[in-house]
Amino acid sequence: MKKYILLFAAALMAVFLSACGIERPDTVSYVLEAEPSRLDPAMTTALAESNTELQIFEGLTRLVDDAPQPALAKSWDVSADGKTYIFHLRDGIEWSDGTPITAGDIEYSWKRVVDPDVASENAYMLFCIDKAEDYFKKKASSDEVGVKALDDKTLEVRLKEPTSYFLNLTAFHCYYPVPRKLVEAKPDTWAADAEGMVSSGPFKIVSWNHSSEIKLVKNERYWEADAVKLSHIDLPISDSQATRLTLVESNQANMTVEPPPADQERLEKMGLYKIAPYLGAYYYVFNVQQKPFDDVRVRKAFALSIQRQGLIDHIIRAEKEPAYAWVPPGLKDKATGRDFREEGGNLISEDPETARNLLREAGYDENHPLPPVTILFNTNEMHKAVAEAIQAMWKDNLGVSVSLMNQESKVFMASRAQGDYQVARASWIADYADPMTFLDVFADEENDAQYHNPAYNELIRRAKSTNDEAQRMAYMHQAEQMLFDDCVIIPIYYTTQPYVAQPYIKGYHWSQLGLVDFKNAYIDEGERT
Amino acid sequence: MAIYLAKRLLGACIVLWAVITITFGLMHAIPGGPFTQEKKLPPAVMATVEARYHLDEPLWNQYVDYVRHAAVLDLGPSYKYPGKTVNDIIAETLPVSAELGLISLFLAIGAGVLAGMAAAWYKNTWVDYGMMIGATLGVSVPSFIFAAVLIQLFAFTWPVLPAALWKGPAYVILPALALAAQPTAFIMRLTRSSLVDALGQDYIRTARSRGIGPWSLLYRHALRNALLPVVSYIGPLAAALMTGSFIVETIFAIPGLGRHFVTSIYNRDYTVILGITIFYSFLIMMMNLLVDLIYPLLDPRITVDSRKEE
Repeated sequence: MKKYILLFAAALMAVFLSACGIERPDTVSYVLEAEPSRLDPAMTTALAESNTELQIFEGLTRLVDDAPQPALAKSWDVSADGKTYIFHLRDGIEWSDGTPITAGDIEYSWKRVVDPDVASENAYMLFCIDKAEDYFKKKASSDEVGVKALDDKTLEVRLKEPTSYFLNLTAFHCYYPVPRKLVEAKPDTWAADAEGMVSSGPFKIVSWNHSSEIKLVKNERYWEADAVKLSHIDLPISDSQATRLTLVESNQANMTVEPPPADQERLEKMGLYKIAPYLGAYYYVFNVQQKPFDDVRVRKAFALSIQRQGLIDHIIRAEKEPAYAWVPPGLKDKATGRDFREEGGNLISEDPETARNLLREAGYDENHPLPPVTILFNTNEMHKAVAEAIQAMWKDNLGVSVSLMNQESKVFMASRAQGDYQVARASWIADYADPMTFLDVFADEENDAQYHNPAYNELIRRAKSTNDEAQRMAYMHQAEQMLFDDCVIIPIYYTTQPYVAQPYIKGYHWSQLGLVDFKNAYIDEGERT
Repeated sequence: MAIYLAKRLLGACIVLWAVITITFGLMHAIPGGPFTQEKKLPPAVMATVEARYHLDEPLWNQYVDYVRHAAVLDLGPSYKYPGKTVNDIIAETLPVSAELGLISLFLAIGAGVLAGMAAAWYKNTWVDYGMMIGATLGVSVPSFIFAAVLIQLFAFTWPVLPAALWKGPAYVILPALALAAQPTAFIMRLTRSSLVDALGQDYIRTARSRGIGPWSLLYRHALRNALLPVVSYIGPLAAALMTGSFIVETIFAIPGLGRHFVTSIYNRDYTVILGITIFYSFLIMMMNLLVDLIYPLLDPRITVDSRKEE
């Protein structure tokens, strides 16, 4: 009897042990932070989606070290006024099912993004194309949109304004061509399952167990298949920070994004904690229409009373950089080759003394206290800790007591969008690598700050319409300066992308836009064993 | 019997209609919509997207439209996962949650009833006290703590089981234990207290005096009566376990229905919120009906339409 029990126990153990660990240790197993809503690059907006799409699709260009390089297009000609692009497609480019990728596919795909009946949330990313916005607003026909396949290999694009970062845009996910036949056959569901999916990128999808795991294999028909070293990528899915980390630590996966901040120190010691650059900023935004922040002096007083370094060292961590302006570092001024931030310098300081004077100037002192002020943020431990620290700084430096209010995420976003707040937490992540993606936030007629300055809007308009890069940068610097003269926001930090990766994974690249490209990734077998 | 069933089903339909109406009203009362996001969409884009999903129409129209489709079991497309309908989502995730839930349910019933029997039989001895301490812990320790302890023990300290994901039999064990802990403790306490009552009854004393052995006494005579409260607890419990737990499914990265109950609200995924609320209500009503049909089998004094006789 005893023998049988032992035998049974041994068999059970064998079953368990065989079930543990990564199924294929020779590959990347990257835990995605959410189940992709679908993998239709024209429609999706979240990082989990665009990250997966980056592996299975290809645009006219692809970002290599954050610079656009030829991808489906082998070359392009730009007209002198910067408004017309002619793209020449590579020979022999194919979808993973063997049908050729043509200029017609690209024309179809781009027009689909701005098709009002398709109603893509990404439509505005193509509004730089001539008549695209009019078509989306049903004021022009699709034939008028400025993208046209001259033949199978040549694509002509006419832009509304010279858009010097247009080649960055063509690497963005909503510019990827989609397989027309498949999309027309199953418009809503073609990218909702692995079955029948067709791709154009370094990898293709072979299985998709919803909310559980996506599996990719190398796409042998990719134009640069020789450069792709991994034969497989596994993408398990977990929206829990703690679970993602557990999967890596228990060796069921070997890479993931955004580990819990509390584990930073421990992971650093283990050599697993990594930081990638990420174009984005965390800031506080004033409602410039609401008392007392309708007075620029009050806004400045509050903005000058924040000490960022302590906040970052003790609460935020993840090697964020204190922000003293709006546009983060990492964006090149193409005219001078220097960093936009370096050229612009700091636009706000930490100066409690001046702050107190400003508040007095605005007419507030012990006898004339400020009206009640509330900081609004969405329910989250980190946002709460930051808000509490800022509350304390305003108390210490200005002697004012502000209250805190948290709301559930979407309630919060709705309040902020409607201007139903005084000062609120906010963050912004770049859509594309150009200062404009930050600056035009406050030119929007419905921006959260309720900031409407015709002079500012005019600078943005001029920057968008000029083809002279030096001029364009000058306008953008002026606009940014104006934003701080009017003190619309309090920048807190420039963000980074913390992630966890086993040291034996090499060759991948995190872009400034938060995407990780596994095209050239490989496993260093020597280091793994 | 047929009339009784028809009445119950008609009642269920009315309840479901009320559930739809209340849920619909509540979810539209919360600010924010499916396309509200940190990065606000340009107004023209927002308007076009909302129009595509008919979210720009008056609420009353949306409501009538929804009820009309729901009446023929079409729960509509998800806003968050536009390639999927709510029917697809339930069909894909329910089997996972149900598998895990049924395993936990059997675990909870088996362990709970046995432990309850032992505690009742050895009333006021160390066995009883030990069981009661265990049950109090089981009821009061939240499942996420229990899950974390299980993961630490069996995936790290003694790495024999996977810490998360859903790929085969070995992946079921830890979440099933985490899910079963609380109901096991509850069933144990229910069983113990009603068994203690039953064991004090005259007919048991009679049976005991006839020299019937302890196992037979417990199992064949006392347990049958003592199980009634347990059975009425198991109905809603089965519905709850089979539709999955948000916490356990999130911690163990299980692709079940449970997390949609919570995430759909964060996402303002209106159709999913409504669809799974309806589904869950329906399941609870069916389980309760099933429990009512089981009662007479346990105690012949109860009949299904007892109300008629009163």
